Amino acid sequence: MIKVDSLCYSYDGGKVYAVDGVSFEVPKGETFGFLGPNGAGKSTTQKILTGLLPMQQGKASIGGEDVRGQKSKFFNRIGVSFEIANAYNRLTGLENLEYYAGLFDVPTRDPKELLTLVDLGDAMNMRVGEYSKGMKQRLIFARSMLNRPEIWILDEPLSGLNPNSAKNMKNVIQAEKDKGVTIFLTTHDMHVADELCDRVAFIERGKLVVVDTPRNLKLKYGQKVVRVEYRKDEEIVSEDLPMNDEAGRKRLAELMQTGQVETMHSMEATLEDIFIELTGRGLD
Amino acid sequence: MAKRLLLNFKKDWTIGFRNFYLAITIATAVLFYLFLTFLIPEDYSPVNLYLYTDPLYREALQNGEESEFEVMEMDSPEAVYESMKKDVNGYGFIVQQGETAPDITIVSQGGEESETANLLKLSLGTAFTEYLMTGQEYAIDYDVVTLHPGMEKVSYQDNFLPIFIVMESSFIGFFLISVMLFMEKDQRMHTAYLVSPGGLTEHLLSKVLVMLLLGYVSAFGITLAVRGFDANFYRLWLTVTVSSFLSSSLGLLMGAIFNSLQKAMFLLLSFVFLLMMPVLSFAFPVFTPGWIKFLPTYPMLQAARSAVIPAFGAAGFYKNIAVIAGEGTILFIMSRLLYSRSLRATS
Repeated sequence: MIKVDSLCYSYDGGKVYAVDGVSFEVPKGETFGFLGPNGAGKSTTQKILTGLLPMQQGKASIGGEDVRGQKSKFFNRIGVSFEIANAYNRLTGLENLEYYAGLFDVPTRDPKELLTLVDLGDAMNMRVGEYSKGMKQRLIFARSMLNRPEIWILDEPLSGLNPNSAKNMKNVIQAEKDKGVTIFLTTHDMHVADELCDRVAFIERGKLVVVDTPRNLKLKYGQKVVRVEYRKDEEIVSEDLPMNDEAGRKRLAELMQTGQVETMHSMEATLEDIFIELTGRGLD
Repeated sequence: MAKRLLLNFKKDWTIGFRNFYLAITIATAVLFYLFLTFLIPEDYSPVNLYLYTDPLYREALQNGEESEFEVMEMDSPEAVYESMKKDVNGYGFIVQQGETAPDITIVSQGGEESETANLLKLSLGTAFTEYLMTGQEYAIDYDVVTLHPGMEKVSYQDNFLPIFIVMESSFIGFFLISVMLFMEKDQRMHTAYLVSPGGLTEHLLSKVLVMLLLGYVSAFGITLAVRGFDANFYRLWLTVTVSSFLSSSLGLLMGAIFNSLQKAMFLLLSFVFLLMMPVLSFAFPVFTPGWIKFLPTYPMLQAARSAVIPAFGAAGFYKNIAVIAGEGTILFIMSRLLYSRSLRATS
């Protein structure tokens, strides 16, 4: 569905490449996470895919169509939610969606239904200038769904949302994924990527470091450790027990038999741990 | 395209209305009307007198009495007629060599009171009589040529009307449209629009239409208030349409080149200053250097005058309209191309 081959982009005429030889493929119906810290090249790649930046080197196609010089037919098929909540402040939430829906040549979803879906049903007639940052984020998230996109490009869709709203948005993304929508998710939040993505790509300084499923990455780069907290002489004691070691497994069995274990956590690596291990720097 | 143009127009009109664009337009027109009614006198003196005298009689003028006329000496009779075309309140006085006596022609616009012509005869005629006949009265025949027969007197207030129609009604778009674009850039709305099926031409054209509608409200409102139904409203419609298109396109160009009002301010004000130059020429026709005619506001003012003072006729009107429309089209195409580049650069 999305095919990127040897993509390069430089903002300064070739001195430094913001995107440097990036290649990947996203099959139909997959949720693909594009992870990296700020300035890694995530947004540049996304902008090239949506035609906001011109193609300099390499190839990219969406749904079999070259992203270069695309006209209205192409944009009827994709939905884009931006990190910066860009909506007309002088219009209401409903007016914003009604205006945007009118731009498409394909049947669109009911703006009121979408606003209700993102918990803005009560605020649909309020001017966007009066919305909070999270409300604006949900508005543009809803806007990106208007044309029932086959390919949904989401840039930090949960940033600025409170936990309740974030959970709701994750459910909406999951529901669209279940319908077979191909999702290209740009984020620096590894928890979001871990929960929603079938595969993730790590990008750092314009180069792709690795592309794989979150599970494979954890198995490959993580440690099998269980952290156990138990009570001993009225004090809480914590121990990390390696599970790939006979002594560790034995010790865990002993502790379980004492009946003093209070908490127990598997300590598999997070995507952020793996990112740090692979690139030497964090995602923030 | 028509569907999206209408959609963009509805959106832009709503935003403009909520930003008080219509209220500002109406308030400006009302203020101007009050200014014309209460601060500007209906008549203003001195009146310009465009004078051509054959070198033979030039000395006579130096003996002329002080008069209410501001005398402008011309090089030829043709120059007198040309100057009067631009100055609706001006008089012409041409003295050429005759067989027995000077051949004198008084050129009037057509709307003057007869007392003014008599005063002119008396003032300058006395000077010639004294000079030619050495103190003896000499009956001079005057040939009176009227440029616009049947024309009513043009008040000083009416003369201000074309200036308002050009600098306010037509140029509303120059500032407001660039402000609209800067707001959209600031809110990064262009990125959302660029990933939709909407085209840039209708996106820009809808803003031009909003400015045009504001221009109509302003121009027709003030003309009806000042002139009643005594104006050529078809010419007014045509003038405001092409003039507003040109000024809005110029505003779009500013919006395409710059990203904020602060950055554009210097150039915007420079343009306003330059474009106001023809107003000086319009108010003081003797100041008409050749380069002023190349500024778009020059033909706009001429066209607006033909619209609000119908007796001026349509001579040159359609040529002026064609020039303004042509310049507006070039500016719109330029702004469309630059805007496309600028949006992708700021994305």
